[in-house]
Amino acid sequence: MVRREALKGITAVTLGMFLLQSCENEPSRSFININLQKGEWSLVDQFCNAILPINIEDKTLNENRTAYVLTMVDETLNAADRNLYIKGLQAIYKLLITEYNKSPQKMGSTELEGIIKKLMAEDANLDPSSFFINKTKSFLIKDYVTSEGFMTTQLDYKFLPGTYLGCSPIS
Amino acid sequence: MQKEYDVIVIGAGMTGGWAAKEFCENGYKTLLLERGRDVKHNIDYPTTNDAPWDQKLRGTLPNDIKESNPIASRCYAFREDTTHFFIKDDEHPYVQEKPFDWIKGYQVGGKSLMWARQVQRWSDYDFRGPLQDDFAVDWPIRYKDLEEWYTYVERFIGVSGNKDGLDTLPDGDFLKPLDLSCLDIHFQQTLKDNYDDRHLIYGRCAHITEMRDIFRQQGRTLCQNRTVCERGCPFGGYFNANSTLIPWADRTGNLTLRPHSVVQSITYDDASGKATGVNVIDALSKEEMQFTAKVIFVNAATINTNLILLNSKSERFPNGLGNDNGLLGKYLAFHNYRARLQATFDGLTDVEEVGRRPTGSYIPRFQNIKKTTKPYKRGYAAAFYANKTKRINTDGIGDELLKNLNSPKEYNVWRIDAMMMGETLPKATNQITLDETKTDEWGIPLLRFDIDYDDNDRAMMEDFYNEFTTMFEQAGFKDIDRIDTKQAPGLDIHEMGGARMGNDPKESILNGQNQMHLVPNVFVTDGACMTSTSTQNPSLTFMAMTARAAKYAMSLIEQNKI
Repeated sequence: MVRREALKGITAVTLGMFLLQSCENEPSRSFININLQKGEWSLVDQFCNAILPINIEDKTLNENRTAYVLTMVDETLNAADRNLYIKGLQAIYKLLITEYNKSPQKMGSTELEGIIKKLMAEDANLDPSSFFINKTKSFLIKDYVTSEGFMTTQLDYKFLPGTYLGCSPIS
Repeated sequence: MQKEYDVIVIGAGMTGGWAAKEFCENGYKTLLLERGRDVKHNIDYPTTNDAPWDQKLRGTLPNDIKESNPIASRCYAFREDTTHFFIKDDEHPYVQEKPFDWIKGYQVGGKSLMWARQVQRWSDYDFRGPLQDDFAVDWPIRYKDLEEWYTYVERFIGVSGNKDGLDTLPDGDFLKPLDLSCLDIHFQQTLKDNYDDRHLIYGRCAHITEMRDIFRQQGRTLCQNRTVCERGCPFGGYFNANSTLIPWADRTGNLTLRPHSVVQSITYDDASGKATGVNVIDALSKEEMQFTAKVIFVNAATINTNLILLNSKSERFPNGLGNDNGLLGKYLAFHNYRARLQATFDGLTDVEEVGRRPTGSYIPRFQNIKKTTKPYKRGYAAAFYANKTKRINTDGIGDELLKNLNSPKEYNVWRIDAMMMGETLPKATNQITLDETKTDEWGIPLLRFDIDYDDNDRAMMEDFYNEFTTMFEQAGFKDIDRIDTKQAPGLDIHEMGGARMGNDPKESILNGQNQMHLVPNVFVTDGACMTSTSTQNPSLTFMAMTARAAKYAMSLIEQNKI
C-alpha cells in the first residue's frame, strides 16, 4: 500500500513535469472568477484540441478558442457550476496521473477519445469530470457555430446587408 | 441655465419626443427633461456594428449581470449587447405586494431604443370596448378622433405594412411589407379555408422598407434586415426617438434637452388653478432646481408618470395632482402574454426562408368582437412566428464532431410559436401607490405595486389554447405544446392606465384631449392615459394621442386659455 502510494507520487511528479513542459508558453491571463493553476490552461487547451481538432487550414476555427471556453466558464456559469468545472478539470488531471501516467499530448487520439467518451457518458450533474468535458464541448460548439467562417459558409449568414426571402426553393 | 419655458416635457422617450417635436416645430421654447443619460443617435450605440462573432460571449448574458438583475434578465431584449440600455434592478427599487416585472429604460430615447416596433391602429371595436362590455369607463374619444393623427405619425416614423382591409385593425399609410414566409402563407390559407373572421397578416412594424423624402430629411435610410435593432440602428432603419424626433426638435433651435434630471413633482398654484412648473433633482450632483412653464406634458412612461403625479402633493391636492376622485394610480392594466402554443410542421419540405426580417406575423383579435359570446370579456390577438433552420449535428468528438458540424445540409422541421396578446381589464384593485416610509436615492417615495391576473385572464388563456390548438390541427401542425410562462405582469412592457381618460371628472383623471380635468395646463399622453388596453401594441396610439394633444394645447395657448 505504502509502495503504491509512493509510486503514485513519483508518477504525479513525472506527469506534472510533462504538463509543466507543455505549459511553458501558456498565456498569462487572469479571469474574474476562476483562478487557474499553472498547467491547467494547457490541459484545457489539449482537451479542446481533442474534442474539436484544430485544422489550421480551417478558417472557421477560432485560434483563441481555449480563451473563449475559459471566459465562458468564468463569466457565464454560476458559482456552483464554475466550481464543478474546475473540480472536474482537477479530477481529470489526477485521473491522467493515477490511471494513465500520461499527459493528453502524449496520448494517441484513440486513447484520448476513449477517455473523453467514457467521461461524457457519466451523469454531468453528478460527475465533475463529465461536467468538465460536456461543458467544454458545448462551449467549443458555440464558438464554432457562431464563428464568421461557419456562419458565412455553412449558414449563408450575411450581417449586412441582410436579406429576406419568405419562400425560396431549397437548392 | 434658463428657468422659464413655454412648455416642459417630462420624459424624452417616444411620446415625450413627439411632444417636444410638435412644440418646437411651432416655435415654443421647450424644456425636455430626461432622468437618464443622453443617448445620441449613432454615437452612443456601442455594439451596433458587432457581428455575432465579435461579441465576447456570443450573445450569452454574463452570470453576474443575470444574478444581480433577475427582473431585467427576464426581458427578451436584455442581452449581452443591450444591457447598457436597461436600468438595473437595484437602480430604482420598488415594492412588490404582488410580483410585477418593471422593465425600465432611463435614457434619452427611453424604451424606443429597444422596443419591439410593432404598430397597429385601434378601431372603434377597441374604443367602444368598455362601453360595450361594461368595464372601466367609456373612452371619451373614438377612432375618427385619432384617424388623421395615426396617419400623421405613420408618415413620420415609417410603417411597413399591408393593406389588409380588416375593420378590426384599420389600415394605415404603409410602406411596402416584407414577404410572408411559406409557413405563414400556408397557415393564412388554412384560416381562410376554415373561418371568415380569422386572419394571419404581416406584422406591421416601424421599419423603413422604401424611401420617402421625410426619411431623407431625418437622415435615415432603409432597414437592412440586420435584426439587431435593440442595439440602436446606424441606418435609422427602425423608428426610435433618438434618430428622429429629438434631432428634429433640436434643429428648430427651440429645444433645451436636459438629461440626468429626475422630476420630483409638479408645482401647483392655487390662485391660478394651474401647474406652474416642476421640481427637479440633478441625478449626478443631487442639486435641486425648479423650472417653470405655461404647459406641462407628462411623458415619463406609465409607471413614472403615475409616480410623479402621485408625488405632486399640495394643499389643494393632498393625494396627488388632479386626484380629487382618488383614482390616480388605479385601474392599471397590461397585456397578458402568458399563454403560448408551440408546434412543429413537417410539410413544406422543399422550401425555406432565406435571411431575416425584423417582424413576425400577426393574428388580430377575433373573439367577442361585436358582442360577448365567450365566458370572458374582450379577447386576444396573437403574434405568430415560424422558422426552419439547418440541422447542426453535434454528435461525437474529434474528427467525427468536426465532420458533423461541417455538414449542416439537412433541415429541421418547421417550428411554430403563437403568443397570446390578451386584453386585461382595468380594475381599481390593480394599482400602484406611494410607499409611506421607503424612499429612493433622491428622496422620492418608492412605488408599491399591487397588480395581478384574474379569472377573466385565465378563462381567456384557456380559450386561446383551445382555439389555436384547433387552428393548428387544421393546418397539419404536430407536437402541439401548451405553455404557460407564468410570467408576472409587467414583462409584456405594456403597462397602461393610472391616470385614465374619461368624460366624467368624477371617474377619470384626464379628458378627451389628454388634459387633466382639474389642472388644465397639464397633459398626460403616455401609457398612463389609457382607459383600457385592447390587444394591439400600444405605442402608435400613444404617439398619435400625443401629437393630437400637443396641437390642442397649442390652440389653448394661442387663445390664452391656459
